Amino acid sequence: MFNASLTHKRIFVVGAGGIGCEVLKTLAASGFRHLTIIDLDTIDVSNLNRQFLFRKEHIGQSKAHVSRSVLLERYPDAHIISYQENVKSPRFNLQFYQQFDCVICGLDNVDTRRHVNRMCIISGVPLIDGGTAGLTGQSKPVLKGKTECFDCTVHAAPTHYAVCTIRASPTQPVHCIVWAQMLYNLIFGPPESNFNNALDDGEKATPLMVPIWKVCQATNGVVSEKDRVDLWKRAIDVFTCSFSTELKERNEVLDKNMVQAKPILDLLKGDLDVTTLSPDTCSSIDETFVENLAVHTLPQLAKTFIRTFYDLSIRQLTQHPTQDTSVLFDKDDSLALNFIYAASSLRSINFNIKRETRHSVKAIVGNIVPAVASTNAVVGGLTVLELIKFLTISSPLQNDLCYTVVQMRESNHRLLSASAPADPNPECPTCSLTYHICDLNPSISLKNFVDSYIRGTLTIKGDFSLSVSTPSLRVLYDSEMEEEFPLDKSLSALGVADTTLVLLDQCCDTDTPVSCGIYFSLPQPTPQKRTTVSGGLPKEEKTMKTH
Amino acid sequence: MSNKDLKSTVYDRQVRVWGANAQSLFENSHICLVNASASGTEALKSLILTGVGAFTVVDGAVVTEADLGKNFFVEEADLGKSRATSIVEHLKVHNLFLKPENAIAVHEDPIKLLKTSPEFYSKFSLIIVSSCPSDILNEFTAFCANTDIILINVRNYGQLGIVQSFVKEQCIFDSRITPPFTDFRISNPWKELRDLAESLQPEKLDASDHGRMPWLVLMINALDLWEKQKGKRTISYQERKEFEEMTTQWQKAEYEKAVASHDPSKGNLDFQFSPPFENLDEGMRNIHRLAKVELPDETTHLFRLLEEREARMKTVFDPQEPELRQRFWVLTAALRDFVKANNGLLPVSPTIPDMVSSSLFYGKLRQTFAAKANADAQQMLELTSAYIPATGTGEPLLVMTFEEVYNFSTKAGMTLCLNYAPILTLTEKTESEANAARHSNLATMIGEVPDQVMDYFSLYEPEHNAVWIPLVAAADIFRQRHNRFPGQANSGDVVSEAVDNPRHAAVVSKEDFEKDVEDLRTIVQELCKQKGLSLSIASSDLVRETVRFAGGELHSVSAIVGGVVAQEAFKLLSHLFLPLDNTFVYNGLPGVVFTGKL
Repeated sequence: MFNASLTHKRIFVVGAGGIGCEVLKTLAASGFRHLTIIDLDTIDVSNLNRQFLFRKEHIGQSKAHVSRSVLLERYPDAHIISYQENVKSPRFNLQFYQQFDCVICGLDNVDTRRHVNRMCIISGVPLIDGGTAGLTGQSKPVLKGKTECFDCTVHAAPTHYAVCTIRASPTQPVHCIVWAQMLYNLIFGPPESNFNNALDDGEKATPLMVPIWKVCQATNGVVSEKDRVDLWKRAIDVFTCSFSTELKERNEVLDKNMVQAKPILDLLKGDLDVTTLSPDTCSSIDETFVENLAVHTLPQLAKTFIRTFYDLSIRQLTQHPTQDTSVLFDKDDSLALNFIYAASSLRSINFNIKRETRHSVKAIVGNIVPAVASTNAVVGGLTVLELIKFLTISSPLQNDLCYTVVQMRESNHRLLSASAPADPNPECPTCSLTYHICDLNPSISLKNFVDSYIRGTLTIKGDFSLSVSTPSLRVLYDSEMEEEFPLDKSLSALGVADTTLVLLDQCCDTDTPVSCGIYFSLPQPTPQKRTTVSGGLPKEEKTMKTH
Repeated sequence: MSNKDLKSTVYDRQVRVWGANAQSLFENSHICLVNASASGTEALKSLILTGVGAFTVVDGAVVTEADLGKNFFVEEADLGKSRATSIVEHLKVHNLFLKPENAIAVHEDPIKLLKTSPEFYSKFSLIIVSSCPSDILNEFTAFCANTDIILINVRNYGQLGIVQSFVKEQCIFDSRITPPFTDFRISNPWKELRDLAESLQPEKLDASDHGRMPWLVLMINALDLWEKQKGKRTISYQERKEFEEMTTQWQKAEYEKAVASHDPSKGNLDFQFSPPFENLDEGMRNIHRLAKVELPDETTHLFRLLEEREARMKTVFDPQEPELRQRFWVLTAALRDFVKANNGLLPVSPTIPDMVSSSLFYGKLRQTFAAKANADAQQMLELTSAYIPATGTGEPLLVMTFEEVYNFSTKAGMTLCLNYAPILTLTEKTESEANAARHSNLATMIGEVPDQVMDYFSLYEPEHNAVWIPLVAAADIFRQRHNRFPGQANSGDVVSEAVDNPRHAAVVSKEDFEKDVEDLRTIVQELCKQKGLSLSIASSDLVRETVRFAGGELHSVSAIVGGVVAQEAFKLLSHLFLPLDNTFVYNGLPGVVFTGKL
C-alpha cells in the first residue's frame, strides 16, 4: 500500500493549524518526504485541543518551525522547510509555487485562501483546500481549467449592522456587543478604527467619548498621581454617561416605536454608589472557567466596567502613548475582553435584552471558529487521500470521481458525501482569465509597456483598461482617456513590481473582448542559498539524526 | 494561570460547539481501545485531545516495522516493545489534565482477557475494537449486548473504512438536527400570543406601523381573516396565491385608511413605509409555517418506547439505572403528560428568528415567547414530580432543577431515543430470526453486481457500498482457514495479535495472488448462498479487489475513519447530536459512502 513514488513529490502545506497538523502527519505517514510548511502564527493554549504536533512547552513558538522539528524527530529522512511568514509575501512568487507538485491549504480566513487559490491558478499547480467548522468540514480540489476554483462561488461577507440599531435601538445581544466594541475602539483604538464608528458623532460627541490619549499624557511612561485621580473620575463619568444620562436624554425624545431604556443608575439605587468607589476598593471579575459562564450581578458589572476602563487607560498611556501606536481590540487581551463584556452586558440590561456570557461575548467579538480534533482528522485524511489519488494512477478503480469534493455534515444522516467537483464558473474573476507572465523590468514607462508589450507582444487591439489589484484595486491606464495617465512614468513608480498582477479589461463593444491577467515575474538572479533573504530565515533540512 | 483556567482555554474552541455539560459528560468517560492499529490509534488520539478523562489500550502485540510504516504514534525506539505501552506513552501527553493512573496500557491478548476475566471490561463506558477480524468483534458484541457499554468497531481494510456502532439504548437530549424542529404556533397561538396579535391587527395600527409589524404577528392575523372568509385554517398549495392577495389587499386598505386619518402633528410619514411591505414577503417565504405543526415522528416513537418501558418495568424511574438515563425517562414521561394536557402540543421554545420589525414589536414578541417557554418549563417541572419516588425520609430520589427541565423542554422536538441492533458481521456463530431479516435487507441493498465493477459504483447508489461487508467477512473466513488474509504473503510469523500487519502484503507472486482470488471467490460464494445474497458478488471483480487490499491499513484511510469514530464516540458519550445508526462503509478510491442501518 505504501507508494514509493510519493517520496519524491513536493508538497506545499499552507497553514500548520488544526488541518495543517493532520495533513502533515498523514502526508509523512503515507510516505511523502519533501514538505514545505508555512504559517505566520505562534502556538496558543487554545490550539492544544487539536493541534497535536504541539505541546504545552511549545506555547509562543512558531507553528511552522515546531511542526517541522516534531516531524523530523519521527521521520529523520524527511526534507522539510518551514517558514514563519505571511504566504502573501512577494517572496512566495510564481517560481516558488512552480517547484511543487501540489499545494494543500488549511487556513481559517477567506482572504489568504483567495490569494493561495489565485497563485495556484496562475502557476497551474493543483490545490486541495480543506476547511472545518465544528463537526462539519470539506475538502475541495482546485485544478485549473477542470474544476471550480475558490473564487468561482461567492463567499459570505461579514454581517454589518445598521448604525441606528447599534446607536439607538438594539434588539439582540450582538447589537450590544458591537456597540461595546465601538466604544472600546473609539476610546482606546487606533485612528482608523474610528472611521465609520457609529459612536463617533463628530461635533455632537460628548466630551467624554474621546480617545484617551487626548485626555492626558504619560511623561516618560509614567502617569502622574493627579492624572490617575482624574482618570478614575473619568471612568465613573463615562459609566454614568453611557448607561444612564445619555439614555435618559434618548428616552425623552423617543419615537413611540422604540423601547424605553432603563438607566443603570436607577437600577443600582441602594445596591451601589459608584461615586464612592476607588481603585483600592473596586475589582474586576476574574477570567476563570466559572466566571466565563456565570451571570454577573449589576454591581459586579458596574465595578468591572469602571475598573477595566481605568486599567485600560493607564495601560494605554504608558504603553501606547499616541493614538497611532494604539492597538485594535484583540480577543485574547483579557482586560479588553472584560471591558467589552461589562459594557455589552450593561447595555443589554439597559434595553432588556438577553445577556451573553463572557464565553459567548468572546466568540462573537473574536469571530472564533469552533474547532474539534476529530473533524480536522477526517478532513486532513480526506485531503491527503485525494492528493494520493491525484498523484498516482496505479489503481484499476480510478476515474473522474477521484477528484472529489467531500463534505461532512452532522445532520443529513449521510455523515460524509463525496461528489465530483463542479465545472469552473465561466464568469469567475480569477480562473476564467488567461494569465500572461511578463518578465519585463518595471522600470519601463507606462507608454512603452502599453505600446510594445500590450499592443505588441499580446497583440491587443481596440480600447482597454489596465488596473492593479494590490494593495487595493486602482486603474493604471485607460486607452479612452490616455491623456489623463502619466504615460512617461515608469511602471515601478506606479506601484508595479515583481509579483504584481495587472488586470487587462476590454470594453464589451469589441468583437472579441479580452480580459486577462499580466503577472510580473522578473527573471530570478542565479540561484543562491536562501541566505540573502532578510527576515525570518527558513529552517533548512536538518542533517540526519545523530545517535 | 490556574489549572482550571488553563483547562477552559485549552477546550474553548470545542466547548463552543457542544457546551460545558457535554464536555464534562465526555471527560468522565473511560474509553478502551482493543488492538492499537493505525485506525484505532488515530481515533484514540482525537478522543484524548478532546479531553477524555481515562483510557486503556489492550494489545498483546509488540511494535514492528509495519507499525512504524503506518502509525504516526510509535517510533523506532519502540521496536520490539509492547505496542499498548508505546501507544499510551505517545498519546497521553495530549491531555494535559489526565491523571497518570488514568492512562493504562495492558499488554495482553484482548480475547484471552475477555474469556478469562470479562469483568475487566465492565468498567469501560466505550470499547473501540479496531481492525480486528470479525470473530474477535463477535465476542465483544456478545459481551456488550447486555450491558450499557457502547461498542464501536473500526476497520481499515485497504481502501475501505468501516465503522459500526452498538449501544443498547441511546438517549439523546438534543439531536441538533438542522434545520431544527420549530413551531411558532401561528396556526394555534396561545392566549398571550393571540392577545398580542389582536392588539396589533392592521385596523388598529398607525400608518407608520404597518411596515414595522413582524411577519409572525401579521400572519396570525391574516390567518384569522382567512378563517373568517373560508371557514378553515388551512391553506392548500393552490390557495397560497389567493391568501397572499387577500393579505396584500387588507394591509393596503388599512394602510391607506390610516394614512388618510394620520395626524401630521405626530410627525411625517416616512416615504419608505408604503405597501407592499417587506413583512408580507417574509411571511410568504415562511408560509409553510402557517400549517399546524404535527408532533415529530421521533417524539411519537419516544412515547411508544416509554409505554413499552412502563409496561415492562411497571415504573418510569429505575434506581438501578445510570442517573442520566433516570433523568431522561422522567423528563420524557413529564413531556408526554405535558403533550396530553396541551392538545398534542410540545412546550414552546423561546427562540424566534431575526425579522423585519420595529424594536418595540420585536421586543414584545420575543418577551411573549420567552414568558411562554418559562411557563411551559415550569409546568414540565411540576409534572416530573409524579415520577420521582421519595426516600424513607421523604426526600425525592432525584432532584430536578428548573434549568435542567428548561433545557429539555425548549428542545423537546429534538429529543429522541435509539435502540441499536447488534453489530452485523455475517460470521456470527449462531443465527437469530432477526438476523434473517437483516440479511434480506442487506441483499436488497446490494442487489446484483454487474461484471463491470465500475458500472456498479458509477450508478452512485450509496447502498451498493454495503457489498464490502460480505467481502470483508469472507476475507476473515479466509484468514481463519489460512492464518493470513487473502493477498498477504505466506509467511510463517502471522500472529493473532498482529492481524493488521501489512508487512505480509509485501510480496505475493502472481500465481499465489490468483490462487487467493479463487479461494476467496469460493468462500464468498458459500457465504452468499448461506445468507441469501446475490451470487454475482462472488463472480465480480470485487473479489480480486479485496485480495489486492491484502488486509493492510492505509494511513490516510485510517486517519479518516479514525476521525469518524472519534466524532461518533463523542456523540454517544455526550448524549448530544444524532449518532450513526449503525453502519458506515467508506470506499476511499471512488469516494463512495454508505451510511445506514444494517
